[in-house]
Amino acid sequence: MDPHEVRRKNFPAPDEFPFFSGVAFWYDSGRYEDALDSTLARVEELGWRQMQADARAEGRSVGIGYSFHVEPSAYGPSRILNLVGLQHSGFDEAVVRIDPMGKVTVYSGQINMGQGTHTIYCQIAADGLGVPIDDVKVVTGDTDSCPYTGYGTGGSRAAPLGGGAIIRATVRLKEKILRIAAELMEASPEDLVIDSGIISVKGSPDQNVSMQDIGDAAYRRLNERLPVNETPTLEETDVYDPENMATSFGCAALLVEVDRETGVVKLLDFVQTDDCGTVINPMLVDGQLAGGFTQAFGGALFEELVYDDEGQLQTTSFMDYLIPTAMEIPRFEVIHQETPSPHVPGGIKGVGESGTIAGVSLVGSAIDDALSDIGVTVKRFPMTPMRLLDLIREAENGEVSQ
Amino acid sequence: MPVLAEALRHVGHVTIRNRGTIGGSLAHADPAAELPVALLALDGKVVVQGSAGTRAIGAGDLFVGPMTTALEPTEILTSVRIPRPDAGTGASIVELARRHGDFAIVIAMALVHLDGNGRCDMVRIALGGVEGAPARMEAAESGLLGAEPSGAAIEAAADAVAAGVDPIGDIHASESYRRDMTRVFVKRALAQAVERAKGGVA
Repeated sequence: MDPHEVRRKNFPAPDEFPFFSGVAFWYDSGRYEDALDSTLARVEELGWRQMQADARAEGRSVGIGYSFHVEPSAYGPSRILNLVGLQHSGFDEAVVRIDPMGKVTVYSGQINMGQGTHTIYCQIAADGLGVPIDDVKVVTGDTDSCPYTGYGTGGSRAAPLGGGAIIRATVRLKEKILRIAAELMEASPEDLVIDSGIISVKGSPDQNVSMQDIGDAAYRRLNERLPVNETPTLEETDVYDPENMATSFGCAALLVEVDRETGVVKLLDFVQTDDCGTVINPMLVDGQLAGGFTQAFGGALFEELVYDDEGQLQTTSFMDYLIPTAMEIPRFEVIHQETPSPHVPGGIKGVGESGTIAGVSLVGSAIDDALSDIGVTVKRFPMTPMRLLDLIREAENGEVSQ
Repeated sequence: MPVLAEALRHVGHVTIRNRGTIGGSLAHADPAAELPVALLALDGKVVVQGSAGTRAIGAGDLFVGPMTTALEPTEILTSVRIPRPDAGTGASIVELARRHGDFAIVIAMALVHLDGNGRCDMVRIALGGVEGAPARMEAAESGLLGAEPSGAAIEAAADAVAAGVDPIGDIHASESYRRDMTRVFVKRALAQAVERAKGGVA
């Protein structure tokens, strides 16, 4: 049976979600077959099969590998984390504050390590409040000034949980802004809209107040400007503890060429259909994925700690521990598919591990395909040239591989 | 000599190539470096100068061991001389490294010139990365001299080189893998050099 048929038979259909995992959490939403079809269609379009056939006609071994991944992200409900024995929780907290000048500051317990967290938090807060992105700044990194987090940054939670808390805080803060604006303009809050930091009456854009007016009414000149019963200041805190994980997924395809005389594997081209729910920033998602793909290919082909028979570590420097460089990786193409999480604010899912999960088995599957005529099955990683040459020779001599 | 440019493409990365020098690489004599192999295959020499005066050292006498040359402690390398190969000479350099720019597991370089009857009247094979110092493979060269460079003849020459080397082993390439790759890369270098000699492309 075609391997893709096995996958299709096992995919839960979109209407079967949330799909219980069997332990503690549900796969929240998914269009798995769409992801597979999207990748297969792109492989067809790119002409990989023809390239493979042409290469084989010239006696070269080109293979196509596929791998499907599901990434449980948005770690996680405190209920689950405690259940599995972790002695910490899974909530995340955000404070969104608008100052008297109408500028926004987001305080978060998350830490940016290069994923672009500050950028997406600016996007989320600006989008949630209706203010220009340049009016938002993000503060993290110090528990003297920032909220605590239940877990920290990891488990692909900065976007869904850190971002989810910001979304929930901005919803309440926006309502307060509209109530104050309604008081200033003698209008009803339901009739108001915010766009680029200007609050106006729907249909009459000339009748408006600015975020600076709102700041003034909330912090300085309150009399007859701040609605009765409204608390001064413009600040909302939100603690978000999700009810479930959010499961991202995707389908990757890889084109490789194996040199049968040397065991060297060359990565020629790569496509992944990736679904991490709502894509907040495609460029940052692509960047996280590219780093993950590279790391996975390192694990598949290069990175290894080698010990001798005495237990002495032989890998002693980065001349021995080989991390792939731009010369070793193929072009990366990401096709974004968006199936929002039904339970996380904004439909956001995590993407931190979606690059690495499929990569190692993907390389194995592509090598197996390239050498399918002699029947090599890769089972060990990293698949170094020496190891692969041994497998090729065993297969050519009719021995069972590994 | 376009083959020199081909050799240099295997040297480290762009920043390293910008900073490094040809004379410096030859005097450094890393056993897995490309330029010493190229100097051997091109039958070049270096001119060195010391307190006792100036002298020339042929490529074959220059590399005596890992990171070790025939230069005296008081001498510095001042110039490199490479004779222009005869018209119609085919040359090739091929290399195996774990990643592009890593030190080579095997570097094989070959120069071939064919006479009017299609027989080899000049063959030079140089090898790097395999032993403690780069070296010419003279036994295999003389096996091809005067012969028609058929696939079988090239295979035989490559087998002869592989059988004659005493390879180093490390975590990236065991002794036996290096020996195997010596055969493969000498074969590829010779095949390409012959191809180029037939096409008149150096």
